[in-house]
Amino acid sequence: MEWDRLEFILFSLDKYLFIAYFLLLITAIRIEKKVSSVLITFTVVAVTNGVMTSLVPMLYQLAANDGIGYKFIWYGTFCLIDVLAIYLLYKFHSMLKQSVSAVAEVAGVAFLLLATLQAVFFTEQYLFSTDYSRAFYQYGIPLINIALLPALVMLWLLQRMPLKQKVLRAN
Amino acid sequence: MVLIFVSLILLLNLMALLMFRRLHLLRSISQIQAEVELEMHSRAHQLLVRRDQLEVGLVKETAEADEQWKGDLAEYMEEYEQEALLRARQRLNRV
Repeated sequence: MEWDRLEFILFSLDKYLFIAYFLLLITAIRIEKKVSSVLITFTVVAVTNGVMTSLVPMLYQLAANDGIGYKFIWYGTFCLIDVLAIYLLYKFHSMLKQSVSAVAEVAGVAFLLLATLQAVFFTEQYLFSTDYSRAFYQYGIPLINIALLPALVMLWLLQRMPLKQKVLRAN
Repeated sequence: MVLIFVSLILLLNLMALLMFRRLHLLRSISQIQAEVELEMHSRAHQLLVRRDQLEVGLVKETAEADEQWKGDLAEYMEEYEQEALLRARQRLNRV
């Protein structure tokens, strides 16, 4: 597949991601029925995605200006949102006294990776004026955002599977 | 100027890392608790089996066995919290 086409698919998918996460959250609430680590994770991921999606047009306008300050607003805001997402994951789990599931940990890793990509790319661009991490940044961020959804769903199903089998066996 | 912004974003990244460490630590604690819970569950099962045996009359010297059973139950109730804490302290240096 050509890069242009891949890029187009990645960026158009990115827009619908928030809706997908929102629907996933509703489905999870119907299935889980009570507070769990999975629900916390889906809520945090959906909220974070919503915030990012709604901020992109505004940030894009600001970042179009010249000057490192404006560029920093773009990278720094995303980095800050990632930090806040991990903080929310941690705080909700400890407040609601939930065990941290694999789903939550994978979401945490994804946010950490996103924050690191932002920081590395910004540092390289403006401190060293080199361009090695551009491809990682350009494709890595939408790729992580998109791959996170099936990864979370799969882990959630894996986590529920043994439970269901146990119930079946008991009956 | 560039240095300030670069250090700011690196600071944010460091914060993400520290926050993630806390989340990871919380996961280790939950895993230890789940492990202890599983062990205590099997002990509780054994206690219940013994209670059943007592009630059916399979065990001789009922009064003595009954006393011992009550003692074991009390010990079991006490141990749960302490065991989880102890393991957390052994495996994670700061909790």
